[in-house]
Amino acid sequence: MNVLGIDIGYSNLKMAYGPQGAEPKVLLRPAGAAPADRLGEKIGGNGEEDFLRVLVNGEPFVAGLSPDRAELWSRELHEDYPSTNSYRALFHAGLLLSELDQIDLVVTGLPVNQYLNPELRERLAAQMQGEHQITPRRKITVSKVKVVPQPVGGFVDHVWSLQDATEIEDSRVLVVDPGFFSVDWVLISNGELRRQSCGTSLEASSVILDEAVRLIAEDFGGNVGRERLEHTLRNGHDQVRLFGERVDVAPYLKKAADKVGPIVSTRLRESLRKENASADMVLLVGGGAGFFELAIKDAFPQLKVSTPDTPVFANVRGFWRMGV
Amino acid sequence: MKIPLGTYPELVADLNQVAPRERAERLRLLAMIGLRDLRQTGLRSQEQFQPLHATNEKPSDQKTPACSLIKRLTQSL
Repeated sequence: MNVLGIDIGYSNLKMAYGPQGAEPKVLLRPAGAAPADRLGEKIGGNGEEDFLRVLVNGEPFVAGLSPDRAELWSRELHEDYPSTNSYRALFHAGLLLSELDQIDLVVTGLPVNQYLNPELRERLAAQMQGEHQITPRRKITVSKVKVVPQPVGGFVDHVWSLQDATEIEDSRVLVVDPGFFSVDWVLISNGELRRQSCGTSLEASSVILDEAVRLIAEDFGGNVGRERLEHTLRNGHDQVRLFGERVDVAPYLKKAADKVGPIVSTRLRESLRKENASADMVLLVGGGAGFFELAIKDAFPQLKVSTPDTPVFANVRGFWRMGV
Repeated sequence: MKIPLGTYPELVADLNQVAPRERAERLRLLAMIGLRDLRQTGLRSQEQFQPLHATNEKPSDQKTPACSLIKRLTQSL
């Protein structure tokens, strides 16, 4: 049985895939996608493409490139992202990268507030299921799709990593998943989702990057741009060049996170008010975990805050595990 | 030593080529080769089994609570 766990984020495409009975392969690509004709000649014609070429409704798209590389194509940063052609292009890129012709089960996630709307999750499942014309000569079939709330994948990944999961069976675990567009959280009590205490905040990593860009502009007089800062971080660099000068980004990111993080943690605490017992631990997953760690620790000083290795892959590893 | 003709015809054919007094030594050598092959096959099986063991459909007892918890959560969604 071939399973694909896929998280089509606003910043990165993450995947965990492979057959049941073996460890999954994991993969990360930038989540930029655009019609192929929006790529500049220099990038598209150098013979060393680091992106994929796919079809979306018969139209050629490029996918898996840095979001700032396409010209005259705006980045989709809104709640209806899953119904966009960019999202479909990234899904097709994910199918292509899985190296499978037939996928028995795709498990994917939606932000919590969207997951709680049955219409949205059924629409996404219907969109992903069936036969897909990925390239002019490649078709890939998806037999079944399961849509889950994004942070649940991180919880499953954590459960699997424990030597003895009995220690968590009757616990109340708050899973916080800071992404680029939204910060999502779920409360899982005795292995069941507490729907009334789940939530989403849009004060996410993109807002921290915007704030850092604003602070850099105040000090250095120019706009480095959110996508450029994002690109710098994705490549593991800690400096960005502005007017010929190298700017250390870490202090600006910290200052921005110190401002935005508490807004999220306040919303989070508010959503837990309906609970008559507190959480036993906090699990911090997702690509933006580092930005929000301090704010979460400050908000729950009495709780252990745990972050997995490579938190950016936690959700998809969990998605895959739920599928097998 | 009596070797059933119908059960191990290839062994009988092999031993027929050897002088009667040297057949015991021939059998010892064949048994040693067989044992060595069994041990290597066993090791290979274990090596193949290890990575599967972590995610197999039949998990180890250690992973049973994790599997139950994941199954319960998945079904509740």
